[in-house]
Amino acid sequence: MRSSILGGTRVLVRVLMVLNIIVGIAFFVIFLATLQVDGALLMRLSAKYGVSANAITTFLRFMLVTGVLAALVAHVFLRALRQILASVAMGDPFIAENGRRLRRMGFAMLAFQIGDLILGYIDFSLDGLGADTVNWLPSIGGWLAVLLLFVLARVFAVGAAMRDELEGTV
Amino acid sequence: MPLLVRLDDQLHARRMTLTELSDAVGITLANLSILKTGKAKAIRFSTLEAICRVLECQPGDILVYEEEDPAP
Repeated sequence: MRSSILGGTRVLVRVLMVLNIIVGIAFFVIFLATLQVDGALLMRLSAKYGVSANAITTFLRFMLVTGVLAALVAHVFLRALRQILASVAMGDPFIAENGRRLRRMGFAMLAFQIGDLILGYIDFSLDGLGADTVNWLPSIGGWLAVLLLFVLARVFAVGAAMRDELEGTV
Repeated sequence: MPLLVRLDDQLHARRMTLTELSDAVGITLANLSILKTGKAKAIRFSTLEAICRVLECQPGDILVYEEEDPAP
């Protein structure tokens, strides 16, 4: 990787980490706000959706909590990516720790995908209640990324072990 | 490890230093030191071949297997 691209990517990951924290906090604050203005929120939703307002409020809160959890998972993912990029910048990326980091990223991506399925369920349920929603579609690319990360993690683990063995070879 | 490297004995028998062996076989002094001190995990056939050629000996003169003492 060219040093300018690497440097740019590292900055981008840092920016994304900050944005992710802000988004996570925002989801949490909005969630707390929905509890604070419970009566007013229910009144507004009742005016628009009638009897379904209670269920819609619950789904809305559930969605916000899922958002907070997704931000936590994304933090784990981005932190591991930042550490891998740091090892690339140091000129020594083929280490066993990077295999473990990729595995962690794989699990984070898997959690993300499961969260996406939950959001799909919420979306489907909200649709059923007549609420306005965005159309949810399963993320095939995300599932492929999960597989790719686990395969890469294994490749790195084996590669690092091979390099360790080679280092002791005279 | 019960596999011992007897490079010192062979060098002594031929009145040769590790530096001279390093020059003769084309293997870095650092790597030969690793081999001599028994810290190497593996040895290439090409390394063994070069050492045997220069020291005019057999692989068995350099590598010796000795049973470890059982733990008391």
